[in-house]
Amino acid sequence: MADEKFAREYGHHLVEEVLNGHMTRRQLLVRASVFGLSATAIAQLLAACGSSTSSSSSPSAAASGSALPAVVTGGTMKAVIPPPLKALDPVTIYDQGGIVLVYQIAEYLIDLTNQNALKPKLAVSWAPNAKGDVWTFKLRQGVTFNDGSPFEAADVVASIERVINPKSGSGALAALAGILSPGGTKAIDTHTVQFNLDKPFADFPYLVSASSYNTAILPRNYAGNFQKKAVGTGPWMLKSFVTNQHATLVKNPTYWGKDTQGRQLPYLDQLEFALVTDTSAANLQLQSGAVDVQPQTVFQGGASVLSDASLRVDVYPSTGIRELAFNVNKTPWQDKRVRQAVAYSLDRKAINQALYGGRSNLGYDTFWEPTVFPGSPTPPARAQDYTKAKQLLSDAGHASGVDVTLTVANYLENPAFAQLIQAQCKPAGINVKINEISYNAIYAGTNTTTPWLNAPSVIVEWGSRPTPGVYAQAMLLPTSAWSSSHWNDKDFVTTFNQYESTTDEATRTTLASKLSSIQQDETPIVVAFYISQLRTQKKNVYNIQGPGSFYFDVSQAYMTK
Amino acid sequence: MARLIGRRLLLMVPTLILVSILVFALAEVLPGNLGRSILGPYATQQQVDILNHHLGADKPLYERYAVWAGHFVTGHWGASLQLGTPVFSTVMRALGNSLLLAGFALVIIVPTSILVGVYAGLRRDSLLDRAITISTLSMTVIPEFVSGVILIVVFAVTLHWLPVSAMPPQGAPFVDRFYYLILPAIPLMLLELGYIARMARVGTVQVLAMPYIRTAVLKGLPRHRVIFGHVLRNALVPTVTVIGSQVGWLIGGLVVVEFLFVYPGIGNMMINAAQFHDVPLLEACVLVVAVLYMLSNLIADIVVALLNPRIRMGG
Amino acid sequence: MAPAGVVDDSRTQEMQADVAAALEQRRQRRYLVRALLRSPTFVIGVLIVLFWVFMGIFSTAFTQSPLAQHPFAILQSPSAAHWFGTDDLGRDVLARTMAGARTVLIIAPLATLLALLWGGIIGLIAGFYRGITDDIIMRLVDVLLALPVIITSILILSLFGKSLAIVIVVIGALFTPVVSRTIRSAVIGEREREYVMAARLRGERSAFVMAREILPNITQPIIVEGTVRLGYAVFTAATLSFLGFGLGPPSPDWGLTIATERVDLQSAPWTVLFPAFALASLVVGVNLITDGLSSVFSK
Repeated sequence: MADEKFAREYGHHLVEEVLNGHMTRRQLLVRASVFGLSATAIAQLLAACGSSTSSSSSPSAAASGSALPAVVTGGTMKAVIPPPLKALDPVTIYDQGGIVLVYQIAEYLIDLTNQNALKPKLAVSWAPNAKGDVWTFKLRQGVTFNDGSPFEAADVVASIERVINPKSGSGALAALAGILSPGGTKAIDTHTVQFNLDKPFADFPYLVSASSYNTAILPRNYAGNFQKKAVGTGPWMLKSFVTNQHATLVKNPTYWGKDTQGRQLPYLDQLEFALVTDTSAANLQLQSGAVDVQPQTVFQGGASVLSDASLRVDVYPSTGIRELAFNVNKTPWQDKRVRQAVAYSLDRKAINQALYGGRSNLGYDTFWEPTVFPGSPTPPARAQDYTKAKQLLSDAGHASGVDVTLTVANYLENPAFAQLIQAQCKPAGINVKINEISYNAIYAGTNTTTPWLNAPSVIVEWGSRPTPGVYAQAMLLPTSAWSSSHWNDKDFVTTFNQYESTTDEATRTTLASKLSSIQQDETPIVVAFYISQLRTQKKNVYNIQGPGSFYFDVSQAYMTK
Repeated sequence: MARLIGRRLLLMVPTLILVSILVFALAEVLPGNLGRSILGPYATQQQVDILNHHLGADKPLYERYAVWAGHFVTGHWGASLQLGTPVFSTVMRALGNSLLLAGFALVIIVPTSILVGVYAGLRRDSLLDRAITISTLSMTVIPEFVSGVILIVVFAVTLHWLPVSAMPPQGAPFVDRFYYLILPAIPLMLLELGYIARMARVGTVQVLAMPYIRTAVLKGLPRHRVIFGHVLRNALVPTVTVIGSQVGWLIGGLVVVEFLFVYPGIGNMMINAAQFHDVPLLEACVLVVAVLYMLSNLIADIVVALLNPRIRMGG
Repeated sequence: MAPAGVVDDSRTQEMQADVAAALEQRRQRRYLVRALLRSPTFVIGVLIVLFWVFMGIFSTAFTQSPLAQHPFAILQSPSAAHWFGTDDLGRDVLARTMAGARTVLIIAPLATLLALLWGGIIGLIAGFYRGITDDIIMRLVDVLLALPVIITSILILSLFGKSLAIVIVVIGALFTPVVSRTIRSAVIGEREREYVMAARLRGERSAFVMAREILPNITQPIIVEGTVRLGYAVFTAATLSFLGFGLGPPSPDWGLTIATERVDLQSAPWTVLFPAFALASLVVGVNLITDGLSSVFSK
């Protein structure tokens, strides 16, 4: 088959890139996974590169100590998460609580490894054509939904077509718009699906992976009543769900997953979620021993959890950010020098220290950041430099200072971040007025009125995104649905389109450098840090997987006595 | 008396209608809309418009009110668009939880605070009276979010005497619920204890100044007969009125305590429903709380009338 | 009315009576002030409130800046450099606690005055006219009282956003129904009294009777109600801030501080306890004043 031949050639191409020093091994790992190369194929490629070290171990495994104790099967694990903000429906979920619950019950074509690389789930392999606009996915055989019906290509076609139908109201539509249109998804046979894209798109597999959480594969006849009748192929089944209180899940006895020794997964019998809104109430549940694990412990108020001797904290770098967006259509942000002045006023180390105890990775206003997206070109660092900031301001005609308003939701560390920005901008002559509004209010209104897309400057929280491309696609293009900056840079758009349509890694690397330097220079948004996330658990809890709070994979987790 | 009660009950109807209109109007002008709440920030405007149209959320206000009111009075409370559950059972379960917490707190507060208040009143201007007045005053003014947090840290986290959450795990026997309610009830008790005790004290002091009490004492009636026969009975009058007005607050105003102790009561449900624009759920919550508020005031007035026949019930 | 130039005997008598009444009033007032100053509850209450008024106005002159951040020295326990420790952004808690009095001391009195003004007008009208006017007004007051306070305030505040002025208006509006009830019953107690009858017989306009005859005679219940509401206004302002509907950052407002620092209560209790005690002390102070006033008035 042509696609397999392409994959083989692509593999050789990647090896050459590594040997020529254009790519790191970790980057090869990630890129190879995008193009659907199997684990054995990737191992062979690494061997061809002369790889002597194994790929880096998962953060949680590293934090748990390299040697895990023997697996104990059975038992109940209790976790505390925020309650889903609304009735459970995989097609329209958008919040942590909903995503974590759906992730246990339904599965995706592709899942993510702890390093944000792609991992086969309901799809066993995938490959593009040479141009990159037709992707063929081979599906897993012998999988059934937990209601007994077989999992086939028709279910995949129905699930994907469902989310790109505007009537379903799915958030995945905006991410797939312009890339995959209705009718583009076809079943070739019962276990092969073909996606015919509108344009070549090198990161396409990410858009149908768990990172695009609305693309969960549901039965073809799904009628929107997930909360009452949760049908999926996942390791867990919903036993009871009491709104804003708790959810109980039991193991799916017919789950297809087996561990490396052939044992049936999941190991645990039952999973209980306490649904708690208030973060300090949630922390207290963990500290009092009422629950075993908290998939995401927030830094604010986390100090007592972090110092609790009975708990183990895994720190894992995520790609989540707090976007500080400047609306380039509004005064004074039309002038990029004012935007740069803000960027040079910030002491990113101090911000990281105050908000995250210094644990997060610093960002320098570009998405191509090698510490979180391996293989990205290293951007020039931006340190606090008031001389430069003042110079930029006076060049822009604001020698006597400038007044700006920053809109921020009353949510987690956002108000603290806003106050840090306010205090650090003041010496440069930028007087920031903080307009704090409720979390609901910031997203309320229409496209032309909602504060998060229309405020002169705004802080927006973004959960993990798997690649720089997915981030840029979401907020930096004139066609982006969620562009708070309204930035429209022709050079960036053209370069970005080339970047996403090429499969040649050398070209991609060159284009990435160009994109990164345009983004940094123009500074439509400030990316001051990439947030490291904390997962906290009792010391007898082992082997929770997944690269962030959304992907809470407990299918291989277990608890010792 | 029966006629007066009937009149008061009838007067509740226009009040409730006005409340329902007010809530409908307020929910309308809150930022956001139902479709956006359901689909989240990442849905496109077109998707939100389609959903709002499908749900009828784009119809004129009076039309939606008429439809909702028609359904509501005929007992069709509908389903919550936020939670995907029937409104009636959802509200009733939350109300049951709130009543349990408020009831639990009241059962302890009322006798204690009356006792303390009457005692202080009898010993007016003594050192003990001063001490009681100042300490109950201080309890009343500590916001429940402060006392609640301190209680949690001391009794649940440090000493491990009491659980941090207000709900027992699933399958636990019903009596366990009271054990879990101790901690959340304390901040409420502190607030109410001081308030009711002060009322009882004021009532006692006033009664003691009455000529007929002096006469009774002069006549040489035993002290306990004076206290139980006259003082207590009359000191209860202002106290009962206060309790009546506080029941409404206890049921609908527990937002902070429910929030801190993760308690699924009606206060938080109301706030969430308001912010989600889930009007059927919001209206049901508000109206149920309003009815309880008015009923508890009515009952307080009846009790007062029974305690003191000279007071007639007014409109 | 007698023609001009003719000495009207009854009028002279009336004037003499007025003078006597005024003298009597002044004597009474002097007596009240002396009684208040002898009441320890009242004096302690006034001292506490004056302390916070002083801090609210002048504290920034002699404390550290309540806004200066030290990101590398966050959540530090009390020390010689920071007597009350530092908060989540490394700011001096002592400075913030003292400066935090300012907002609440602006909000609470103004909100109370608004409530007294609105509630006073409504209560006067309802109590004076009785009948259908009273029925309608009291029905509307019932409606407002039946709405859970927290819902009303949150709805209004999410509508108009956050600002000092709006918080004041909202709290004033929240207290209006209760105040109008109290004043209405005070007015009802007065309206059958002789002096009111006399004024009406003289043919005085209703507005005049309400403002010049009844109002001066119900000042005591109004003052007591005002101080009671003042205590609640402090409490309510803090609760609204706590729930995220009051003032916004970086204000050192007590309610807001308690709300944002609450998550650190376990590891850094000083960030929450100092503003909490400050808040409690102010409310106790206001209530001591109330107690002192009402016990002196009732004697």
